[in-house]
Amino acid sequence: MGLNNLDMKSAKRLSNARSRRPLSAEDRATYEWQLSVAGFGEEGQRTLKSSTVLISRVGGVGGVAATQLAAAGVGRLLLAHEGNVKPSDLNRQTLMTADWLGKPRVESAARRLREFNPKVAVEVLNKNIGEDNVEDLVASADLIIDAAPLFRERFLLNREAFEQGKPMVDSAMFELEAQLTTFVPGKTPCLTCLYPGDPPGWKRQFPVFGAVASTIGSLAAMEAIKVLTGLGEPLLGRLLVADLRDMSFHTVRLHRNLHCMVCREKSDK
Amino acid sequence: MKVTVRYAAQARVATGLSHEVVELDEPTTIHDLIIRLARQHGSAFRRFALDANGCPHPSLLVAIGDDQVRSGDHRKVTSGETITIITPISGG
Repeated sequence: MGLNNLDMKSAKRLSNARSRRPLSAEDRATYEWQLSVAGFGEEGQRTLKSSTVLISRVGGVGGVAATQLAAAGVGRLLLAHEGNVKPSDLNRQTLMTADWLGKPRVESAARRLREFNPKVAVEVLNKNIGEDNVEDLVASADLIIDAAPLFRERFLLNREAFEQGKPMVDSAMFELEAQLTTFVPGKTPCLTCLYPGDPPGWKRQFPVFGAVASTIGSLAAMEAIKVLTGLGEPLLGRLLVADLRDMSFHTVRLHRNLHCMVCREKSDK
Repeated sequence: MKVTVRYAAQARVATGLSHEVVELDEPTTIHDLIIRLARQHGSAFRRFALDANGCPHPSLLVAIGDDQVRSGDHRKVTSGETITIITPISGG
C-alpha cells in the first residue's frame, strides 16, 4: 500500500475524531461556493468550523494562510507572532497596514481577520513560539502551520507536533522559490529528518517578493484544509518545490532519517 | 558520462547557476559529487555544502530525479540523471 493511501486514512481519522458544529443559514450562504466542491460538502465545512489551526508567525506566508483559512471558515485561529509592524514588513505581510506601523503585528492581523470574517474566532499571542508556550499552543490546535523564519522556532514546533501527534504544514520561501510539505507523526518524515541541525549560513532576512509569500501561504492553507477534511492528496512524504522564475512546480519524495532524534521512535515500523 | 546538477535557494545564489551539466570520468557517489562541486564553486557554496569535517552537510537537501537522497549517500549517480541540491529555506 502506498504512503498516500495510508496517510489519507490517517487524515480522515483525524477529521472524524472531532465533533462537528452544525452549520447556520449564514454559514451556508457564506461558504456556498465551496460547499459544492466534490468530496467536501457540508461535512467538510462542519469539520472546518470545528477545527483550530495554530499559525506560527503571521507575516508574508502565515498571514495569507490565516486569511485563506478564515475565508474557508476554519472555526478558530491561534496566531503567535511577536513584535510591532515595521516598514520592511509591508512588501509581503498583507495583514499589516501602514497605519499600524509601530503597533503589534498580531493585533493588526486579528483586526483584519475579524473584519474579513467575524464568524471566525481569532486568538493572538504577542510572542513567538518558545519553550514556554509551545506545549500549550500545540495542544490547543488540531493542525499547525509553520511559517516562521527562524529554524529554532521551526524545530521546536516540529518536536512538539510530533510529541503530541499533530499534523504540521511546513512552508518556506526564498527569492522566487517556495517549498511546502506536510508532516504527520508516525506517517511521514519530520523537519529534523530533512534538516538535522541549524542550517549553515542561514540569515533572518532574505530576499523575497510578497507575491511569492502569498503563493506559498495560499498553498499552505489549501494543504491545511485538505488534511483537516480528508480532501484530495496532501503533500505527505512529498516536498513541493516551486520556482516562480519559470513557474515550475514539482515534488520530491522525502524519506525518514532513520537516525532522526525527533521522530525515529514515533514512526511506524 | 554526464549528469545535470540543478541548484535551488542559496545554492543557486552561491554558485551563480540554476543548473549545469557535469562530466564525470568514472561512476561517482552523491557524497563525492557534492565534495567535488564544493571545491569547484568556491567558498560561498562550500559553506552551505560541507560541514566542518569537509563532508557533505547533513542539512543539504539532495534529490536524484524526484527522489530524496542523503547528502552523504554512497549511491552512485548514473549517466543522464538530474541531481537537485537545495539549501534549507524558511518562512517570514
